[in-house]
Amino acid sequence: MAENRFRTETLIDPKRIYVAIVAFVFIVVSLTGRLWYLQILKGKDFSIASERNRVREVTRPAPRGLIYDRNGSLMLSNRPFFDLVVIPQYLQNREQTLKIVSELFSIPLEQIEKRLTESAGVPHFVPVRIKRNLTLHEVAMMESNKFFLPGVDVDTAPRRDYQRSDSAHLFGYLGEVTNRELDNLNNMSRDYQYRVGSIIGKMGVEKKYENNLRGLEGKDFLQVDAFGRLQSASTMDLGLSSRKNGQRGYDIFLTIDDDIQRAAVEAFRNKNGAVIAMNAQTGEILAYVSHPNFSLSMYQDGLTGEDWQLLQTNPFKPLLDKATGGAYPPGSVFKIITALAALEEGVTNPNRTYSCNGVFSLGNGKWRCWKKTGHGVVNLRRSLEQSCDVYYYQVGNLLGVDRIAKWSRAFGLGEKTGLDLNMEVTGIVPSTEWKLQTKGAPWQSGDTINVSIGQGYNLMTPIQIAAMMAAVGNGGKVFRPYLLKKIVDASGKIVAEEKQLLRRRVTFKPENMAIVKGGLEDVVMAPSGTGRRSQVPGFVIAGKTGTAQTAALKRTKDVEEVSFQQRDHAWFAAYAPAENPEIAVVALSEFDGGGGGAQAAPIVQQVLDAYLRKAHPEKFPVGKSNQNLAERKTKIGAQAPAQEEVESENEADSDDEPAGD
Amino acid sequence: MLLFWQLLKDRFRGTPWSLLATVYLLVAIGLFNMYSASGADVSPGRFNDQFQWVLLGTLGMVFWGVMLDVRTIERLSVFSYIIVCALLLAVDISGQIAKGSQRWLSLGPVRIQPSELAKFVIILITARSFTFVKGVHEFTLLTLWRQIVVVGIPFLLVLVQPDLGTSGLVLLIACFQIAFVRINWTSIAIVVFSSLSLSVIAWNFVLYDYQKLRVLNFLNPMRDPKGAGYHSIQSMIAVGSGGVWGRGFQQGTQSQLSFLPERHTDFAFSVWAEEQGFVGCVVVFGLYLLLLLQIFQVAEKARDSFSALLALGVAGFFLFHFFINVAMVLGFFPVVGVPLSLVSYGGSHMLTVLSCVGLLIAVERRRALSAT
Repeated sequence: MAENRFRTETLIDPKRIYVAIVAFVFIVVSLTGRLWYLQILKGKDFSIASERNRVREVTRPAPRGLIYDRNGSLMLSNRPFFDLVVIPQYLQNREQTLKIVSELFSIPLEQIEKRLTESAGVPHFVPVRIKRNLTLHEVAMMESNKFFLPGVDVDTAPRRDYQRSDSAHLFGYLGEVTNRELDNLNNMSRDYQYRVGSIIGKMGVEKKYENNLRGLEGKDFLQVDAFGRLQSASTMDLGLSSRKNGQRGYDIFLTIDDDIQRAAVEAFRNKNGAVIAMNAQTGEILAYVSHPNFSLSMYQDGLTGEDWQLLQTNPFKPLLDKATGGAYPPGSVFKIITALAALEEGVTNPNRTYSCNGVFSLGNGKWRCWKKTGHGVVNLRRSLEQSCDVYYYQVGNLLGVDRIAKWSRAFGLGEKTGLDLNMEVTGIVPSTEWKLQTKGAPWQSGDTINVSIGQGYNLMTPIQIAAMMAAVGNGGKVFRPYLLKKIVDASGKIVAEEKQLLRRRVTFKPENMAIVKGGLEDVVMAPSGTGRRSQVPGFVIAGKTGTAQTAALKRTKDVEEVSFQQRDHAWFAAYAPAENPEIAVVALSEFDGGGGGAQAAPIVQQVLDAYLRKAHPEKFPVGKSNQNLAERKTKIGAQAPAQEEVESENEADSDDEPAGD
Repeated sequence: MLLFWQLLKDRFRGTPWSLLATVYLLVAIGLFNMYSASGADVSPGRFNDQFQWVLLGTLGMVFWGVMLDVRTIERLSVFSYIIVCALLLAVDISGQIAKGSQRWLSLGPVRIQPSELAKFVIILITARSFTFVKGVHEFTLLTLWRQIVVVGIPFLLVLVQPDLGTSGLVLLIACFQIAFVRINWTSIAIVVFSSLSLSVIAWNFVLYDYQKLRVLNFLNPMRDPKGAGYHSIQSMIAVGSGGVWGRGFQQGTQSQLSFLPERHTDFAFSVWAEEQGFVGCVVVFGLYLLLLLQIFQVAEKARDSFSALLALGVAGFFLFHFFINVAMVLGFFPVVGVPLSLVSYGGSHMLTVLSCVGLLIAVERRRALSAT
């Protein structure tokens, strides 16, 4: 080369080229190593991370199972409800659209914005509920304006169809799960489908059978891009099933007979308290009413603060289930226990009589019979029929409280019945030991006098009385009351059934019980019986009235003058037919002001009538039953006032007056 | 006709066809990958765009490699250097006027990025700056003053755009070239030691925290608290989920669903890794290894120092782009705007890369000519 100055070797060091090659090979090898690490060693982890990036799980709530009565007649079902939703991904001209929506549906703009801000974390394609339970008019309005409102839509969701407004405590309301419930439920169900905002049963059957009713929610696996937008048109394979089908909840068949339930609701209109009808031979609940009722749909639509205030401040405590959660002095209904205890413990015999002159004295205390003039000479059977207080003061004094308590417990009083619905309380069976422990004071013989007629410290729930009454009727079998007949899945297969459970068996001499039962029959069947208003022609029925005083005060003629909290509770408990009881019914009308015979017995009568008419149609005159019922009602109605006139004082003053001076 | 054919044959004599095959294989992979990355995005605009740039780049390659020979290129070096510096100045000035970062310059229908062209002319001017040297010579820092000046000017012009990534590459390519020149080790030691200690001192004692943060953000624009490392993480997820065989053409969910940022440009290799897997990546690595080996061979065989420095500059060009981009994609390196040559989308870069390949052709043709 002529141009020597360009010779490579003069300037470039060729060894360095080899160094550079080695360095580059090293670079490529180390990058390959990194690639190996990411793609082969950690490939699985990164694949999972990649799936998490793009797959969003959207759940579709499962429709709750339906609730049927024992005969398969539908009590509570679902129907589609319409919600107004905004889907942020499809929203165009956001400001204007939201303004129009706000005006069309009269929702404050701030409220819409608030809902949208609350859902800022969720993907943009998830509809945000703006207004729940649209009317059909609103749905039509939305449909006709849909074209102008991209991103606004109507969404349907299955919810409870509360067509009937009764029996709120039986069915129970639904509500959003609380944090504490969340942990419990998820631990219990193990499929962790509950999350903040999930709707669960909060009361009644909805709560008790939540696990069966809830069903399995469906899942949609959707693909989203980095901005959270739904990628429906994507050509990519999801690589997994895009949908996991849900499952409707199991249907529940209750032991309730809806005809009897409706009769009980109808009979108990305008009363507060509870009515329970129970199969006397099994413990199946046939009717279950607690009043005052409250609106289940109000809960579903979203309870306003105002509604909540009203429910909380209502003095009759609508949210309390009186059937299991209300403990009341049982009044004269308790005389059944005292009577049987007195016979069994031998402190009296069926023929032993006491003379009632209206007052019983012990030490320097005086207790009056409800009938000021006295009942004259009474034996046990007549004492039940007439509910003579003095008789029970006498035998109660001889028995002592602990023997009364023993017989109370034998019938399951003072403990939970095991129905396990809502918040069941145990009530109180007082004894010397009990008083010493809770009141820190020794038992006084005067206390026994009150207890022996179901006053004083005695507290019992209607469900306890119902179980007790059934046991009296069926020969001492104390059954656990229960509500579930069967649980059925979507294909009709029985998933679970509940069977009768004998909790206690009371042993007694049959002749003693026969005397007591005879007295209870007289209560209803005798012309002067205190419970005669519960008669159903053609049947022998046994029952017992009770009028429980809430405060010891001077008897006022006009109940309206007494503040309602001081008015009496009216009880009536019965079983029928008396010979071989099929049904036991209890009615408690709290703060009624009237006596058990006047106020509670007619309610029980209507429930018994509904039952007997269904169970023994042959004993009812042939003809259209509706017409028949009307006829019979007038017949009884015509009968009753005549009696009331004759024994007006008896009725008005009611049957019991235990007032220790 | 025969004469024309003979002329054409002469013109292409010495053309390194295997090197060109390697280059165009990578270009094809890049186009395929770009088509895939566009996915559901029906408009083929980006793919067509890039295809046109490949054609334009090929023209550039033919211009530098076939139309010109090394002697002409040497003579043109200073001229093209001045033109590119002028363009860079124009970008800086328009950036000043627009009060913002400015990298583009519109020349009629096309928008070009002069900083990309700077990477090309730096190769030319660095090689050119050593043609004054006569005889065996060992350089010291003082005798390298010419190189420091000619490299420093475009470096600063790109730096103030501001574009740290490209200016860094300009500096790296030039240093890479100079590193092959016989420089005395004392000078190299002085440069390395002083720059290291200076930066350590500056970082620990001179800079305030907010300034350090600014430097870090400058190095890595995605370094905000919320999205700290977001790009890196998403890229690693994309690469990792590719596994051995990849998820298939247009099946990469990270790229198709935009979890991956800049999937056409700086993170194009992530798309490739996600959809073609480890096997596909090894193919690209292999092609790059092959390409670099061939370029070093061109340098080694070059008959004069100017040619050798040209080839080494091109080698540095490919090497640094490859290393920085792939390391960034694999989460080894902070996120800086450096594309993967031949594979990433970007017109100016494609034009520059293929022009660089043209330089290699020119060097090889020159060797073939002098061999005869």
